[in-house]
This record gives sequence, structure tokens and C-alpha cells, in this order.
Amino acid sequence: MPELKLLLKHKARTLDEYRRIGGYAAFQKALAMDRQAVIDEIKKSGLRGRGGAGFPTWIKWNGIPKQKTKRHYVLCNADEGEPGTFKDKELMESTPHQVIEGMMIAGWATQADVGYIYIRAEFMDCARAVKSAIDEAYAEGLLGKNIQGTGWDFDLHVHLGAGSYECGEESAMMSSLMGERGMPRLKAPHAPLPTIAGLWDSPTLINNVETFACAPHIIQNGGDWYAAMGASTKNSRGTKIFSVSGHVNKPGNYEIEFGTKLSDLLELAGGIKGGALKACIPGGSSVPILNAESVAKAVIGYEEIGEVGSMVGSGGCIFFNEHTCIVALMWRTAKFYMRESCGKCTPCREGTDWLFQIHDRIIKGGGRPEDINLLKQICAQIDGRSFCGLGDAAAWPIVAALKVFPHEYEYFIQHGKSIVDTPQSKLMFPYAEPVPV
Amino acid sequence: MASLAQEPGLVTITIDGTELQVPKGELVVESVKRLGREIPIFCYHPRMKPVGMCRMCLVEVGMKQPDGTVRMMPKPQAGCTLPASDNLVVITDSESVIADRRGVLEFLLINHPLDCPICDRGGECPLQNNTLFYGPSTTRYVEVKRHLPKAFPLSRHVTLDLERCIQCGRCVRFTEEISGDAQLAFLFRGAAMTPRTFELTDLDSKFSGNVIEICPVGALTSSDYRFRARPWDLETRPSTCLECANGCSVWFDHRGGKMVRINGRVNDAVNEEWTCDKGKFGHGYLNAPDRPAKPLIRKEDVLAAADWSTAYQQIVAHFEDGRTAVAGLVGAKVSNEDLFQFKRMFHRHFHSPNLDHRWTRILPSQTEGVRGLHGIDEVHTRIAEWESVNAALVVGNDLASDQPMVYLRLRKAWQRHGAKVVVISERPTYADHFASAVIRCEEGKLFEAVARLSAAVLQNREGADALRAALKPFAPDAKDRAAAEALKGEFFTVCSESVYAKPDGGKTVSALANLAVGTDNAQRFNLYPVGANDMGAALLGVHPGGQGMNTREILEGCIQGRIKSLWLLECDPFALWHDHQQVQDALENVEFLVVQTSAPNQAMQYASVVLPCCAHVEADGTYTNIERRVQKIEAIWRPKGDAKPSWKLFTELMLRMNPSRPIFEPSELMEMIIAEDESFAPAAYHNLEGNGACLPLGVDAGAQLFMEIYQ
Amino acid sequence: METIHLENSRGRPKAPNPEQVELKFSDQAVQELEALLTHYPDKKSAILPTLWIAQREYGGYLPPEAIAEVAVRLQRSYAEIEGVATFYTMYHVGHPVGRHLIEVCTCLTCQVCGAYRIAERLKAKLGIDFGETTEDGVFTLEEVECLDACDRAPVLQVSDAYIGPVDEAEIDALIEKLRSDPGSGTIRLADEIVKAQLHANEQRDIR
Repeated sequence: MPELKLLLKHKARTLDEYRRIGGYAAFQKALAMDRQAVIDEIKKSGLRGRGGAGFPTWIKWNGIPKQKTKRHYVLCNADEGEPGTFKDKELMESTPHQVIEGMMIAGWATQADVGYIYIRAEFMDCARAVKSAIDEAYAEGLLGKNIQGTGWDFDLHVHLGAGSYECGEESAMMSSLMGERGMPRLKAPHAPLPTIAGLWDSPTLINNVETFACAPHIIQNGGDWYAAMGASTKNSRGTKIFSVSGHVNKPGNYEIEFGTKLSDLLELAGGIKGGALKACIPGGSSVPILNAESVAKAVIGYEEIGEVGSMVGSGGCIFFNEHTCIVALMWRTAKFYMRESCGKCTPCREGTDWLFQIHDRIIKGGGRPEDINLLKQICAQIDGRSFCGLGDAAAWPIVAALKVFPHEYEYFIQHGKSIVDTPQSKLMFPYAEPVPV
Repeated sequence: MASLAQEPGLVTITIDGTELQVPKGELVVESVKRLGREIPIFCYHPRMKPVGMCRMCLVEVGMKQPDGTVRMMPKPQAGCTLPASDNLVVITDSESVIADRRGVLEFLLINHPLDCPICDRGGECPLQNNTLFYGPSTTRYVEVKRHLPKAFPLSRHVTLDLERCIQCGRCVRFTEEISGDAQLAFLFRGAAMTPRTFELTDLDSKFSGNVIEICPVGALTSSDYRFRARPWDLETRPSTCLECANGCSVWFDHRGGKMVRINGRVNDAVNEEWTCDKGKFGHGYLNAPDRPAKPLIRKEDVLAAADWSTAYQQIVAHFEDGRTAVAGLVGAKVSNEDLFQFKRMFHRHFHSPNLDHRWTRILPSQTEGVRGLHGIDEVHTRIAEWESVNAALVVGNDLASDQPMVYLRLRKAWQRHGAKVVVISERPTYADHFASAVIRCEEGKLFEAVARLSAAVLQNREGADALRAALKPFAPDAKDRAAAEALKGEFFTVCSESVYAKPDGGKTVSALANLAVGTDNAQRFNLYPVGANDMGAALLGVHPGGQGMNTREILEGCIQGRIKSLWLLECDPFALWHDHQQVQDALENVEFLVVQTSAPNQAMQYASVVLPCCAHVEADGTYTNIERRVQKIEAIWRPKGDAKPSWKLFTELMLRMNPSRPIFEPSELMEMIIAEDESFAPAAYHNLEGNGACLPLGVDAGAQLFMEIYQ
Repeated sequence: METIHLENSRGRPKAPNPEQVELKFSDQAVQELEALLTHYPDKKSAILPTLWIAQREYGGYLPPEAIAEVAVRLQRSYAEIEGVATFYTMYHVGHPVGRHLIEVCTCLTCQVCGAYRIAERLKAKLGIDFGETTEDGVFTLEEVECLDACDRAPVLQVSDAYIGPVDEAEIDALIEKLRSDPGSGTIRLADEIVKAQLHANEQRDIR
């Protein structure tokens, strides 16, 4: 299947350009609609959160109290940090108004007073683009007091992070925005949902950049129109942007309709480069790795991709060719989670550290046969036991790698070197040669 | 099992197959205790907000469906953060839960040094205990353990061992949530996360000792207690702290007749379970090597050991029927029974009214005090009530120093429901950070500051025209008016008697009482004492009471020769009175000086007779704290040498002067106190088990204003 | 993590009283802070942006005095601010960093696309390891986690710009170009971050 471009169809950095492609018409339309009708359209569309978890968007929108007793907030999660993902970056850089318009529609529907867009501080191009778009919107009276004579006030601020993957987790993002260490907060059933008590204990709607960007299209064309896309899947509607990278000829963002085959996505990205396809991480580093056989079978959809044992995640799709050492790849993955663990809970803090140390020992040639079982058990002790999803995400890739590529671990442990013994594979190691212990 | 009939506010939950009703929202970790079961914990502390960090308390959780089946949640949940809701099903003993606990403990132990044999926490360590009950017996960790600084002196009291830390955050949360000084924070993240002070500067807190107690491992240890004892070598006895007038319940750990450490003891009415550093680290005098063990009598220029009989003889010779030429001064750590008997001895046998327990610069007489001028009681509010106040006016010295437990409760009121607090002080105080308004005045200008605020408060109110008129000369500024906003309705006033040490202290107190009376807040007015049993001494009338001389007059009397014999009971005037020269002149000049003390002091060098008496841990007795709670302290160890309980000493002297039925037990003295003053009736010894008994508060005679202070 | 030197003395030096803390923010910085404070309902929420201001004002890193100034300006405890600052990798707490901070992404896609080769090349060229600064104070080299520009792997972040895909052969030229740039990219990045959070009208009012 070819690309189906919706969010990535145009590049429109300025308000003028954005207006030329019909920008803010959806917002005008929403302002004329009943608030509940806006939420109902989102419900009809079947839109699910594009940040990674795939939670139905309308439930969040609908969860904000209709009777307002406190200030309401809208928070856009633009702390894109999942390894392999760069879709939000492009959305913000190329068409920032699309995201802002989505936030404004959400703000209108949930009676919000203030919106924040939390961008990771590394993304300065995004930050500058969004900031200048917000300035334009203020200048045109799209933001600020009494917007378009509706009596509705809505302010939108850019808030930049300072280097933390964990802040992409929605409750950690709230902590960070409120000036704290980016540690996750209690969630239901331990605490009220953010839609009831989020930022500063007030109702807060949190969505990913891509999710917000979908809203104008849904409002403009109707939920049914949106839901017609991806109809071949069980419960995934619309389009999804996949960031394709790794050993492909044309890395980049590709927007496809749900129901597209994973192999088609690879084709769109110019096919595999430098050797035969070996593996794929379809949805960002947190999701289980697939081998070439599974890639051939996989259909993209929240439930469909589960059939081959992985997830849509954030859409960070990395393809690997035959020169890839899976153990080294998992070593780097473990390092990522170890360095990004916030330290709040024991399983993640200690477990990710331990997982990395074992991998480090293995790739230095000091693996022991019992390490495989140990790794599995450590993962089991982290998965589902950590405070937030980061711990689970640290365990899943390793569990999957041990399941899909067990022989690579066994070989490495037995021989002190990778089963993939090619010059290209050596690139993956920080140490020129694995040092035997 | 049939469901129990549901009471309002309760929900029915099932724990390990047993159905029970618990208050809605109660944390599962607490509900489980109702069945006599326990969920192991590290980070959870019942007096702090639950955080669910350590994951030790993971349990399996499900919801009972209408059809009777149970739908289990896919992941185990932290019992310390999970609120009870109807139909909740909790499993605390399944194989999976047991495996989870083993997993968490294995993680905690991979980087924990197994230096238990040299760790102060060994033997009373939650990590040791939980490992023993729930943990793995061996480790699978073959990597290099984390190495971090050990035995780092974080303050004079607290030593930090970062290798032992299990990052539960209890200490950090204590300084943020409870003490409010936010001195500790987690630095770095992930496995490198450690609690520290800013740039490792001094842990400068009035409550730092608590972090030692709540640390579930030996990461924060007491610098004083380090390597002094193992927990199993200690004898632990309940006691009450006498370092201030709050009367906190403590555990008193001793070994071989030496005090080894003080820990907080749960008492929800007073200190919850906290201690202040003054109390926790302030009992060193009990271990002083040179505590008097025998009566000493001055022969020529030297104090020489003597027997009691000779000492008594001399005392009787100088004091009996001494009338106005004899006087007694009393310290703060003297029990009600001792005070009562001391006073009886002075009144009945010496026929002298010259007694005082007060050491502040200003010593109001009965007609000049709050009761005399304003017709209201000094105290109206119990310690625990402070956590539910909505507005408060805090005046004078740092509340956290003078009344640490009132401070903690007031802070809780702010934290829990946003109580509005106005602070008026000359120097920065602990309460500043949560006060909605802080009025910082110059030294010696407290009275003016209170008067200006009073004027601002009255601007918003009806009535009290006379007071408003009297306050005309005190024009409030914008800051006063902003502060007055917080005091629009009902508000509580708290001030300590330490304010009497300031030149304008008397006027300040009166101005506060006027403000309280003028705004119908008289029943919320409090002037708390500061010394341990100052309240008892005041209630028992250990003061001149209109006829005798007060502390100042007694000292002057000694200098002028009007006072021939002076008795110092557990007090060192050099430490207590502001004018050292005056003390020195008085003690040098007085003919006969009795120094009765449990610890060596500076006054001893002027003594004619030194009488060794028991410290509070060596004799039974009762003490009355700021909220008039009478608490009994029992003797913990034997007296030093020949030292006697003070009441016994007085009883023996009185028998010499007038043979009558002796008194054998302090409880008899309490009965006599009650017979004399029936407001002490609640304090009969049989009522004092547990947390003691409270005497009436807020005995008002009819509130009135006193305007002359404004002229 | 820094080394703590054990001391035999009992107790530690005291932290300064808030009144003793020297406030060094420029007028511009103070105005920026005031504008940023209007974005949030409380002062605490402005901790991150204020740390960015401080990082710029104090020359690209956060010495203890900077932490103290942020704490005093926002009325928070020193320890809290230090705790927040050390959580985030882009604040350089305690140690100065070079004029140009070169951050090498080595995560997954960059790893398989040869990031470690690039890193080795940079280390050899600059004579420093990850986490170190050249003696002349011009360059600091860091290994960072995913920069989320995997389509440009292997990618570097230099100040406020991404560079990628990087070819090994371009590195010498890149280093020379940076060396000849007398400005501090580290300070520029902090400045850009502050400015991106200010609205146009707020920026107009600041002089």
C-alpha cells in the first residue's frame, strides 16, 4: 500500500501558508459546535493516542469535568524521546500550526484556560517553529483573551525540558512542568486521573503531538470520514506516522493507513540496505523485536501487530540488516534504560542497572551460561513491578530478544564474541574488539 | 460468606479471603493490619504521603464483579498507595506476591553493602528483618557493587552512609513534608540517585534526628550513638522529654546506667512520633561524670562530702522560720510532686512566700499577667488541635524552637488544608516559608508590630470601637493590611513566655490578648510556657503570688542582704538569668546558699550546701506540659550515689522540723495536690497510664481589654 | 558522579543564608524571569526555565552560586533546586563545560550506523574521553541517549543544532569550524531555550 498523507501532506511553517491549505477552518468550525459535539466527533473517529499506549483519545477529552470548578489545562506531550522516533519533530518543524490548532480544539472542547506544549530542549528547531507559530496566533487573535468573540480565553505556552526521557511519561511530564524532578506520579487506581487532578491538581488533558495534530482533520472532515481509514483493522483507525530508520535506503517519516503491511513500510523507505533483513523494532525501542519472518507477516494495527508479538508503540520503526549483532543491540538498549531510569522505584532503578552490567560483561566476553536465565528472571522481576511503564519498557525488548534470537546470546556467551562476525557488525561495539576477560 | 451490612463511609473489601469493612479510601497497607497481618514496607510511613517507590508492598489486587467472580488486575499493585474501595480483593500471600517481594529485596541488596556486623542499624533494621522474612538467602549478583562515601558527617548529629541507602526517600520526604526545611533532596537519577544536602553543607535542621529513626537502613545514623551499643544490649523504657514544655513521649535507651539515645515514641496527642533535635540530642547531662553523688558542705573554702544529717541540720538552722529572709528559686525540670512539697516546706516551715520559678526579664505579678489584666486563661488550645486550625497568628521567637510540636502541627494544618498563618518576629523563623504573611520587625519593636497589625485587623471588623480608637497612633502599612487579610475571621494566637525576655514583652503579650479579646478570639489565645514543668509550677503556685518576692527581687534581696538564705532547686541562675553580674553578686553575698541539683552547675561554687537530687529518669514524678497534660515519668535507673528524689528530701527535712506521718510515695503527694486544687483531679495517678491526663484549659473569668499599653 | 572527600571534622560548613546570596542575574534575566513566572500559577513551576536562565547567566553551567540564586529567586530550598538540576542531563551542575558541547548520539539507529566510530574519531581528534573537556576549555564531548533524529543517523548535537548524518571525513572540518567560532555554543543554547519560551510581546518588553 502507498503512503496516505494527512498530517504530513503539507509543509506550512507560517500562518499564511497554513491558512492557504485550509488551516484553522476546523477550529472555526469547532467554535461554532457544541463542546460535547466536538468530543463526539473524536469518539466517532476512533482516534487512539499516538504517543505509544494507544489509549482512546475521546475518553480523555470526555473525562474533563463539564462543570468547571477549577482551571482546566491542556498539555501537549512533545518530549519525543523514544529511540527510533522522530515524527513529532517533523510535525512541529514543518506544520506547527496543525499541532496548535489541535490543542486549541481540545482546549475549546474541554473549557481549558491554559495550554502548555512541553518540548524536549534538544529540539530547538521545533521549539523555535512552535514559538513563532504561537506568536502569530496571538497576533491574529487566535489565542489570548475572548478568542473570536466567544468569550473564551486560552493561553498557550512553550515549556522546554532539560534532558530526560522519563519526562515523556505523562505523569512525569506533569512533575517536570511543575518544577520537580521528572519522576512519575501515582496513577489510577492509586490517585485520580489527570483529567480530574493533573497539573496543580486541576483537570488536565494530555495528548501526544500527533494525536493533537489529528484533531483538526477529524473536526473538519468528520469522525466517520476518519474512521473509514484503517477499517480493515480490528480497532485502529486513521493514519499513523512511522519514523523509519536503521538499515534502510530512505530513512524518514512515512504516514500510512492502518492495515498496511510492515513490509510495505520497508518498501516505502527504500528497502533494506547493506544486506538482508534480519530484524525490526517496529514501534520504538520499548517494543519487542521481530525477526524477518515476523516482519513479512506483520500488519500494522494496534491489535494486528500484537499477533506477531510486538506493538505499534510510538511508531519508531528501526530495520536491521544481517550485520546486526542482537546482543550488542540489546546492550545499547539496556544502557539507554539504565541511563534514563529516574530512580524512583526499586525494580527499574536497580534492575536496569543490573541488566546493563550483565550485557556489558557478556559483550566483553565474560558471559556465563546462567546469565540467560538470570536476564529472563531479572526482566520478570521488573516487568509489571515498576512504578511506571519505563521499567516494563526496559524489560520487554530483552525478553523478546532472548526469545527471538536466543542463539545469538548463547553463541556470544560461549565464544566470547558475536555470532555476526562481519566488519560492519564491529561498528556496533564501543570497544574495537570484544576484550576477552 | 454473606456480606456484612454496610455502614456509611465504610466499604467492604476482601483480604486473603476474609471480608471486612474499612473506611473508604483507607490504604490497603493499613487495612491489612486490621486482620493482624502485615505487608512489608520500606518507603511507606503512616505519617507521610505514600509514594509507592520501593515496591516492597506489592500485592495482587482484583475487583469482585456483580456475579461473584473476581477480576484480577494484570499487574501487582503497591499496597501502600492503593485506597480501599468497594469490592476490592487483595491477596497478600500468593506465590506471585512472595516472588515479587523476593525480587524487590534482591534488587535492594545487590548494591547494599553487607556490613551489618558494623552497622548501627543491625538488629533493628527493616531491611534485615524483611530480608530474613521475605528475601532470598543468596545473591545472584556477581558484578561490582556500587561504591560511595561511607561515614560522611552530614551534621553534628547525623552521619550519612550512601552505600547503605536504598533510596526510599523517607528522609527527603520528612524534610519536605514534616519539618518543612527541605534540607535533603535526591540528587542525580537512576542508580546514581542519592539523598544529600545542598553541596553537602551542614544538615541544619531543628528536626534532623527524626531522619535517623525513619531511615529503614543504616544510611542515616546518629553521630552520637554511632558504635555505642547494639540494639539488643540496650534497655528501652518509655519516658517523656523535658527539654521543653511540649512533653514529647520518647523511648529512653540506656545501658549500664548511661543514657545512650532518645527515640520518638508514638503519642498522637502530643508529638505523633517525632522529636526535635533539642530533645533527641539534649540529654547528655545525665551522663556527666561529675554529677554530685553525696551531700557536700562547705568547710572553709572547700566543698567536702558530708552525710545527709549534717546537711539537714545546717539547712534547718538557716531556713526554719526564716520568714522573708529566706527564698527559693526553681528550675524547669522539677516534677509537680517536688514542687508541691518544696512550696509546702517554704510556706509551712520557713513561713516564706519568696518563691519563683520564672527566669524571664519580665515577671508579671498576678494582677499584671494575662489573667489579671485580661481575665482570660493563658492557654486555650491543645497541641493536637493546631493541625485543624484555619488561621493563626504566630508572634515572637521561632515557634519551631519554643514549641516544636505546635510548629509541626501548624505546618500540617497549612499543608493539609491551607491554613493561613501570620508570623510577627524580629528574626527569620521556621514558619516563614509557609506563612501567608511575615512581618519582620526590628529588635525590640514587637509591640509596635503587633499594635499595627491589630489596627489593620480591626479595620476589617465591626465592634471593638474603644480598642480601635486606642490603636489610632499605630498606623498600619500595606504589609500589615495584607497580613490582616489572613485574620479576617476566627484565628488562633500563639506566643511563648520567652517573649517576656524582651524589653517590650509584657506589652506585646497584652497587645496580643487585646487583639484576641477585641476580635472574639479570646478562646483561641495561647501564651505557652517554655520550660519543661513551668506550667506545673505556675498551676501549683510556685511564685510569689502577690505577697513574696519574685526572681528579680530575690536576687536583689541577696545583694542588699535582705535575703540571708537562698535555695536553688535544679536551677543555675547563671544559665537562666539575663544579668550575670547580678547573679554573681547575689550568690557571693547571700549568707547561706543551698544548691540542690542533679547535675553539676556554675552556682555550686558559691554553695554552702550541695544536695544531690535525682534527675527525672531516676525518680517517679509527674510533669505538666503546655497543654496542661500531666504525664508520669517513671524511674528508669537507680539514683547516682546517695542522690534522693527531691520530694523525699523535702519530706525528710519537714519531718525533722515537725514530726508527722511521713510520705512514702509521690502518688500521695498528688492526692494532696488534688485535695488542695481540684482542677488537678484528672491527674490522680490511676488516670495517668498511657498518655497522661489533661487538666482544664481556657478557664476564663470574663474577657477584658487593657488599653494603657498603647499610651 | 563527583567524589566526596571524607572529613574528620564533626559537622559541615553551613549553607549561606538567603540574604547572603549574591544575586547576579542581569536586568534582562530578571525581566525574563518575571515574564516566565506569569506562565505558571506558582513559582516552583518556573524552576526549569529559571535554571536555563541561570545556565546562561553563569557562563554555560550551574555552579553552586547559580543553584543558590535560583533557589532564592524562587523561594525554594537549595537542596530542592540542586536535586532538580542534577536530574536533567542538559544542566551542567557544578562543572564548567567547554564553549562547544559536542554530543554524540550512540543509541540504536546511530549505533548501527557507526556512531561509535564517529565517537572514537572525535575522542582521538580532541584527545578527550566522553564527559571530558579539552584543556583549552573549548570542547566537551558527551555520549547522549537518543536525540530522535534517527533519519539523520549518526547524528551529533552541537549547541542548538543537529548535525547529521555525520561522515567520519567531515569531523576534522567540523572541529576546525567550531574552534574558530569565538562564541560559546553552550551559552547560546541556553539563551535560545529561554527565548523560545517567551512570547513575542514579552520579548518586546525586555530591554
